[in-house]
Amino acid sequence: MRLHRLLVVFPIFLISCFTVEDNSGKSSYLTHCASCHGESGKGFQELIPPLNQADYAQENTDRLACIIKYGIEGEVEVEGVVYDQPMAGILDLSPEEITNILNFLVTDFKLRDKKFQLTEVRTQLSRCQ
Amino acid sequence: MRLIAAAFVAIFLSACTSETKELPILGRHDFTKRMVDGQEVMDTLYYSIPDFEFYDQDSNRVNENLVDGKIYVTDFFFTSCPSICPQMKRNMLTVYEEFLQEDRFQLLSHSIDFIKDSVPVLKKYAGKIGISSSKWHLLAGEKDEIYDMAEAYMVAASEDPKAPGGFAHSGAFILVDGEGHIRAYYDGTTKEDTELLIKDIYTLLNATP
Repeated sequence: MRLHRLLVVFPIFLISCFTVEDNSGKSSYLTHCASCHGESGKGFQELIPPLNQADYAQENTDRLACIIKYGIEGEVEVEGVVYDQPMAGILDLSPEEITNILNFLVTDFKLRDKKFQLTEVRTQLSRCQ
Repeated sequence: MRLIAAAFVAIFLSACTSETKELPILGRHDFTKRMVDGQEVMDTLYYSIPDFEFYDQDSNRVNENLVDGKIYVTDFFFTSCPSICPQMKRNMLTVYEEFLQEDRFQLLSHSIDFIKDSVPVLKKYAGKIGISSSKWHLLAGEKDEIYDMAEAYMVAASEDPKAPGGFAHSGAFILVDGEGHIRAYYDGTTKEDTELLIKDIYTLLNATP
């Protein structure tokens, strides 16, 4: 009985250790992104594109930090649908917060295999057009 | 264990009783006196939405006649709104789909961006969401008419250079009955309030023949 309980409790501890950073990315996502892109990243009809396992996001991981910070305008094709609702940037976000949001997209929306490092995000942000 | 079961039953019961709650008529009402058989009688003149006229995404004229005798839900938004609007429209779409076949129900969404949101812009937006103007009207109008309307519904709407997108507005869904009386307000940005709204629409529909 005791062993049983330990077996249940221990993994919960482990999970909570690994998700500290992810939770902050998730809460930033819910605050800044979810109104448009949806809590589960499915987008909204043909107005707002999906992020969850979406080709455009997966193919543009080298620009996503810039898009989050400065927004994007014009037509964008995602999973065969053309979207042209302008996206406002969130200038207040720090490179750390952007890294956490991107890593939330990695873990929950299968953005790519590898997590983002702060240095990579800083480099991207220094080259935004 | 028994205590837990009792608590559960209590929760269930309280959930049941809240369903039958009445929806009051909201607003500042007037009273008039009249004489009946030599006795003074007080009548209540309930606050009701004044007449209006706007154009929707298909250039249909939308006025008080369209919603006469119908229950409707209204809100304020604008198409380029980057903050709460997509969430409001997502929740409104849930309401739209629920009552698509209900002839006694309409949806009116007022754009407060009188500069950019012309009829063609609203038409394109409606097309992107995939909605029909026979049920959900996206309304364009003149600045004063729109802001007067917001005032009539007793919600906030204004130009605000500091707000995201240049306009500030309430995120409320407003439930209005067939006689133009405001019956309730809901937070249009939450799923919970949207579910409550759907329940209350059914309550009003069931109360009207």
